Amino acid sequence: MKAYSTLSDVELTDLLMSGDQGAFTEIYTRYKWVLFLHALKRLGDREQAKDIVQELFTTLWDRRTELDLRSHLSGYLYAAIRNRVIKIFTHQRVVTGYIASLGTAIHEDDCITDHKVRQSSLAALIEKEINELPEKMREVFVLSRKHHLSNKEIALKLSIKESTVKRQVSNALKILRTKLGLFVWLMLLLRIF
Amino acid sequence: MDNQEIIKLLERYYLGQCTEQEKAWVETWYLKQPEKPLNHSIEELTKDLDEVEQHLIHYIRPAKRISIWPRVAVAAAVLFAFIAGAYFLFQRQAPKTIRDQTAGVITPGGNKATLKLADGQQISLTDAAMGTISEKGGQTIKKTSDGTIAYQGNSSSGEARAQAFNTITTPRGGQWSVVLPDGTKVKLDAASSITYPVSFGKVRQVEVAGQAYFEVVHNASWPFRVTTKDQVIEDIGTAFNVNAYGDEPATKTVLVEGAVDVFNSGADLSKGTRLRLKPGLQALTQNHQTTVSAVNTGDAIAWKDGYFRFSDENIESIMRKLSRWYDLDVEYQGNSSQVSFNGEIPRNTSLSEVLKVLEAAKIHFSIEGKKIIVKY
Repeated sequence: MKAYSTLSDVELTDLLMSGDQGAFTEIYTRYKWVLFLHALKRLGDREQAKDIVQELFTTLWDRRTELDLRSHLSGYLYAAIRNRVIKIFTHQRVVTGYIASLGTAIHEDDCITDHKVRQSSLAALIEKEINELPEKMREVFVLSRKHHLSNKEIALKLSIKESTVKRQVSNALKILRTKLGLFVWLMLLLRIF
Repeated sequence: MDNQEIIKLLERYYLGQCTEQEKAWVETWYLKQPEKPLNHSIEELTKDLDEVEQHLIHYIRPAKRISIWPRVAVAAAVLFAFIAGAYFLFQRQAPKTIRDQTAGVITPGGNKATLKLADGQQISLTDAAMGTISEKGGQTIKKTSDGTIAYQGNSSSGEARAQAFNTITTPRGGQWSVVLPDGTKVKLDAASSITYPVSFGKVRQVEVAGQAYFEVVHNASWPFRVTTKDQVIEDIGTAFNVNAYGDEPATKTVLVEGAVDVFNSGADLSKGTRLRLKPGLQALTQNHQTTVSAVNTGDAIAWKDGYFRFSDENIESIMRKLSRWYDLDVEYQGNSSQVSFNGEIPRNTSLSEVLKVLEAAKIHFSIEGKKIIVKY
């Protein structure tokens, strides 16, 4: 019911950097589900997923003045959850199935070398988790995306040079198409172009 | 590349020591990872996220805190030793310290209240004898113990009597409990009041100012509704605490058990936004805006069990509580203090003992009659 929910990610980030606790809570409310569900599906362990979400947000608060989040809060959060998941994979040396598959990935040439395309693909992958939720709970996130996309994000996307990305995108789409379903796949196209 | 090399690569990755090419490998690989099915219900997961939120709310709070726990223990031990000694030496003569010459005359609150009947008659519940206080239309009001009255028997024809209201008012330094005609129990804190019809109509509607704790007898087809200055609370089967003092910056409802819906006062109840509270949540209304957060319910209801419980509270908030319980007016001198207090003090502690605890935080007090001056 507070005005925070109507702020864009960029505005929230500015408030967060100045130490605003309400902005921090709103960022949590906005992103908790996508981040938690993503971690849960990758790790399959509820406690671990809960821990890394908590750790991610305490770090966000502690380092709020140092991080350059201004243009890309979601990008930061998604990369942060991915890196924490990877860290857990590494420490759980038993999950060899996962790790061994990296060996084969490296020899294939469908590697996505453009980091912006990887970033957008990761965002699409994570944000699709929202579809798992009942409609009421999805609302907060979906609305915030509309605000967000209508602001700074679009400008960012347009700065990607089309020619250099084309092949990358087709790689990303190949990887993600089967996972995402048509709707989210189209969203990804929108995100990239 | 063997598994050992892969693990090394992943370690380099999260330490940020990868080449661009390696980063691309790892991140592409990550995108391709299979997903595990979701084996948990949304309710379970919601609970997890609520727990994380509660942890985060505590985590981001400003740090400067003073715990009064050890001091309360010492003060209580000293007080006990003192009273025991004084009792044996002077029999019933009251203990005196320097502070007690001023603050000692100020005693904690107790069971005090007045009851106003529908015809305007005022009855002092404090002075009333045990037993029947009033009998009207087949309904009796009894003082069942020191500090409690109960309504017994149905009043004749409900709807007409639903227009006849009784009010219990506690003064500063008073508290009182009532068992309403439907069996619902309410405990009123100091400087508070509750107004209710002697026989409930289709909706059990009561009005509260100040602080009250409710244990509602649930009936799905007979809603129980509490109106305060900022909020309307509708019971779904419940124990909850309402704090709606005029001198507090916000109105707060904390749910202990069951469920309630909270509306902003003045909202159209059929259309207005209702917030469903679950146990452990608080609805806080300030400037017509309501926010819900997780709180320690024990803090909110400590008063009804006879304790002041402070959880990161500033001196102004504490003084508002003391002023209501010890019947004091408060004045401040000097710049305000940023110190916050944590701890618990029994409400039957003498004022001088409470002040001793607070003085440990370099806050000083002087007392003139019923006025206490706080000097930072």
